[in-house]
Amino acid sequence: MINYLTFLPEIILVCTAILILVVELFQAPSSKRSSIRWIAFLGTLAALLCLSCLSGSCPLGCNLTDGTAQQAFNGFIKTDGLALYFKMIILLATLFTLLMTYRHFETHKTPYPAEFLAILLFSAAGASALTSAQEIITLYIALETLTISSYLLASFMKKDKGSNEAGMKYLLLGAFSSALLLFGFSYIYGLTGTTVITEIAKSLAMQPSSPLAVFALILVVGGLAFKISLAPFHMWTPDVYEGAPTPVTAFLSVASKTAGFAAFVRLFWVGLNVPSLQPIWMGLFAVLSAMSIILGNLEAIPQKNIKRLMGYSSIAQAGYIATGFLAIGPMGLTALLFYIFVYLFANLGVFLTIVIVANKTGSEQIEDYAGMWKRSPLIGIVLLVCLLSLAGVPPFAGFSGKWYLFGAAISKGYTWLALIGMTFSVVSLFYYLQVAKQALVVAPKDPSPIEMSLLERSVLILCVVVTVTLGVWPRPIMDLAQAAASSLF
Amino acid sequence: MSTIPVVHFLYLAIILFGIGLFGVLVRKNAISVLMGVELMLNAVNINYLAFAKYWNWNSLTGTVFVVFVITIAAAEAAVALAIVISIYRQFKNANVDEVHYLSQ
Repeated sequence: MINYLTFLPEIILVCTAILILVVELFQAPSSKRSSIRWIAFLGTLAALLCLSCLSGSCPLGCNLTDGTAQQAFNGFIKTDGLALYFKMIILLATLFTLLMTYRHFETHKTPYPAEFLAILLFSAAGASALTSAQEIITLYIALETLTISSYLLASFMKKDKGSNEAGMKYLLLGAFSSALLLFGFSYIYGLTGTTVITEIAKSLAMQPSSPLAVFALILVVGGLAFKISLAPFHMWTPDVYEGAPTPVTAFLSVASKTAGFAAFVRLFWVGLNVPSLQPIWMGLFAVLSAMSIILGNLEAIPQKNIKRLMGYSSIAQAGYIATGFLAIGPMGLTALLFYIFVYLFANLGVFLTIVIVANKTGSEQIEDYAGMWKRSPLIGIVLLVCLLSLAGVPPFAGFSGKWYLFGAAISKGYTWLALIGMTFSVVSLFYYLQVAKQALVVAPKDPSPIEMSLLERSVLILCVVVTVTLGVWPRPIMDLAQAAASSLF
Repeated sequence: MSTIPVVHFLYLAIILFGIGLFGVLVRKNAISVLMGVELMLNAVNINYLAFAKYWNWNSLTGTVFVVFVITIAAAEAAVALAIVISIYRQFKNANVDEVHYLSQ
């Protein structure tokens, strides 16, 4: 008997995606197709709500479980608290992406809106499944469901050169990195004779360090670092972020990265956390993290296109999150989870404004953000608050997030890395504030106001409220993150 | 009857992987790059089968992994060729270094 509760959110997402494709067949090509939008939105919302039912502490009292981790297929898939937390981030990001999609396709017409929504939901299902994979075949399949769908999403605008180029670059480098990852996995299987992550740890702990194990380790780190765009495996990020449709960029920057970190935590903290290998991958990660923080922040400075700027910014953010990844233990994991939550709201707030502004002005250049404050006060506030939060300025949430991350890194002896992080957070202020300066100080060229729907307005306000509140009162999400982290330790 | 030792398969796999890697890094045409990736994936498959034979033929883990890798590689190739055709229509060629529309 298979325990279907284990992957209930994924079942809901996949069924919704198929339903969208079927419903679309029965609609006239000229209709506005608002029904498929509602199906996509409600399906994702249902998947999000079922997470709280699975956690065993649903505020509405409709618990499906008693809070214990559900598992299926001999424990190959286990939905513990950590997986539920990661799934929550991914599904929230998907909801944001859906909202952006509706606005984006008003000006960027596509004949295939249903296919876009369906592929987006398949991608979210892959990311969601990845977070509960306890075995490397499952992990690989979930990862490929996520990335192959993402290639399609990135190159979705068939008539647009930028989107095509983004898709091709993402595809070639993504396929290459998957091959590296798999080659590493094959040696891990060869050394241990198993693909279950906990069994791998037991088997590796019993054998001395071998060159083959180190080789496998380097391949796996390289392959996965591509997916979360850690330098020096970040070359695809700026081009893909700039060329892909903006909702897809937003999805990649949060959901795809979160799934990548989930895979990292499972593989490295559980599977490869053995005395013979741990110092090697810790060293590798310290270097990758430092390089991402330095390169991401420095290369962001001269950018003129805001999506490209956010691409470099996301490389730097991945570097910050990786510092928390180095502090193995509940403290580091809590900091990492908290920061991802903060990053979600700040980053998606910025991307939502990018979509709304591009819908009106048709431009993604930073100079065209001049005087946004006068054209729409809310957009001005969102840009200021979210960008300052990404830079880590108090009293916003990014500051408390970085405080926990660097604190965890220092407690494990990575003071030099924390210092690099803090120094380059100051550097990052320079380019984040340039955008804010355009929006708040410079006079607008075209003073016509920018209108938005009630839903978009309330989501933007939500982003600001969450970012400010978590800066001064991080307790609620910290408690949630701590509870999630406790399922691993 | 003597059998071929496992390590010979591993040498074959690493050579194939090296050829694929070389193709990915050196070739300019997107299709050739994809062929390089396919070679790398086949090296992975050889590795898995060799290790499956070394550990335990009856456990099926390695063999099953190969089936999944082949399936996913096919899906990836389908998406990849679709994107390359789309690229060719937009740019009139499919050379990786001549497709640069996005800002440098």
